[in-house]
Amino acid sequence: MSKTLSNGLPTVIPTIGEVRTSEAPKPRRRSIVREFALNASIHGLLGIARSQSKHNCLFWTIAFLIFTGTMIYFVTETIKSYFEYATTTSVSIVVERTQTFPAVTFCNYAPVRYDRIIEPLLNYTNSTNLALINDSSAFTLQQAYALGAYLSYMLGTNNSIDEYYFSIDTMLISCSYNDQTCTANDFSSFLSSQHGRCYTFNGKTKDSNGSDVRLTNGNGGTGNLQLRLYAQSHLYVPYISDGLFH
Amino acid sequence: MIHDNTELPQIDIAGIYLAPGRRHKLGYKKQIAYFLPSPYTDCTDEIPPVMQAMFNQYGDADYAYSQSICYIICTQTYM
Repeated sequence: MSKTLSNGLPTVIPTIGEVRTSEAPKPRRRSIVREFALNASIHGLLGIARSQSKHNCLFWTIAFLIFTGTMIYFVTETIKSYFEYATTTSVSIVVERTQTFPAVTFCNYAPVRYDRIIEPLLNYTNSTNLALINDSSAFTLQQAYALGAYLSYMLGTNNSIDEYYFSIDTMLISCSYNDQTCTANDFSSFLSSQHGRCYTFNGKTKDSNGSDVRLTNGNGGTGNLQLRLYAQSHLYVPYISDGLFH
Repeated sequence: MIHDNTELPQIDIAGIYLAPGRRHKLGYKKQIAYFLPSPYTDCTDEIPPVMQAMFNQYGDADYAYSQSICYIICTQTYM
């Protein structure tokens, strides 16, 4: 080792190298390990290095291995539990004396009124030859199936199909919330592809920012909405809707 | 159908049928679960523009984010 050093380095260094080699005894690496063991703050290693007898050395070695193993076990367990990203669920019970009444939506089971749709629908089926009718008095299954095509044609050509729907004015017989009368104006409406125009009571609106949402204890009541509705099932389109209210 | 004040009514899916000529009494029970936002979960309550476009069809109703509506929009967009 000193030879390779002296070959590559200036002439002053080899003398130092020689001094070192002369100072260090033969088992140099072992002495480094021993010195480390004696000076390190690891008691197990210290015990092994200091031991005079074989029994003492064996005892310290076994003790050192056992407790090192225990330490590694607990450290890995801790790291593993960290990477499980454990969650905490907090459950709390809150008493709310005033609660908002939920929204209630209803629609007629049938999307369209037969009396309003039949004439334009027949005109449409005749003009497009979707369903050729021999007997003008009978409404056929084919014509009923053309209903969807007619409605999408009307919507596609930006025509209003609002008059075909069941209106809340004809459906709502009476309405009361906590014994206070409500009217058709208390409902907001939207379109459903299956049930035509639907009406929502007590939905949150943008303008009021939720201030007009009714509370269950409003008007001294217990949250009781009563609706009487007229289904008008005699106006249902045959084959499409059979008497049910939605 | 009974639903939350800020919940868009998916009446085709969650509505119940009532028979005419009868009196029906509908009870309800409300349960609230709050999910923590990022970084704890991937949950969001932000309304994406497609969902807002859908909400615009509902008049002046102020509906909130809904995961099931998100699924419907995705299905309609990509299938």
